[in-house]
Amino acid sequence: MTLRVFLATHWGDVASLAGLALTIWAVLKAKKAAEQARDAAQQVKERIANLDSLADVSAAITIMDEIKRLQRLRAWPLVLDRYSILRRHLVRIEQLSAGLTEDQRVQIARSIAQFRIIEAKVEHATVTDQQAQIDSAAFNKTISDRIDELERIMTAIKQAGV
Amino acid sequence: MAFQEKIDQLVTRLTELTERGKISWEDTADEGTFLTSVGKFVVTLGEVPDYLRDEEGPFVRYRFKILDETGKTIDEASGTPGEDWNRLSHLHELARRSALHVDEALSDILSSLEHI
Repeated sequence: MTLRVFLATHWGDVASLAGLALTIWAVLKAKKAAEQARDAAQQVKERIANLDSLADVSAAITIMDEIKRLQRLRAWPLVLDRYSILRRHLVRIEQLSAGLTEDQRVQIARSIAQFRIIEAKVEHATVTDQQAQIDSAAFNKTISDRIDELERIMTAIKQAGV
Repeated sequence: MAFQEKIDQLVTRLTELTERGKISWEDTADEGTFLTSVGKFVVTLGEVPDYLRDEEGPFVRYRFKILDETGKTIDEASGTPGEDWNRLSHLHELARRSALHVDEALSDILSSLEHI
């Protein structure tokens, strides 16, 4: 049987096979395109999450600097408000930043704990009218150490690609 | 009153791990209080003057706290005079040495002295 005769008698089968191959190719192409679109969307989502984290870390550092200034001025009623605002930022970073490493989470947790301790000391001194005994230099040293840690986290987030 | 069982285990484990250098402590704005982190939790150990002490009792009390990820104290224990007090006192000394890097400082000093 020549090719011509074969095609004449089986053209329908050949067309079906070609159609099937074309369909499979189209499906695979569509699947790949969908996966690429999903990956791109995921990357955008991660980038937005990183930007949010970066904004929160940056805001936390700004508040810490402000707290240091207020502590230097011994403006205790004002600084008490800033502690809770700062804590909210730090908790947000810890809970919403999916890309943080275990060590970075530990540093955030330690920062939150350090500010709890400072806040409790200031609260106690305010209630007992002993603000004069607060060692603001010691507080500021602790905060400077915490700022250094947050700067490291901010650099790592930037390097992760924002 | 003796420690609750799990706090008891935690103090023992923290003491072991600190002795082996597996856990590092850091100092805090509250002098005499040190903290370390365990998973998402933070443990603080502070030394506070004991104004209510008996004449024969110790001068300080130790306050052991566990903080959650928002910094809220979720459990705490105090060492009363006796075995618990001794254990917390020992852990506190280890935490202080870890936070202030006492052993590294002593090694550096000894090394410097050898070169004199």
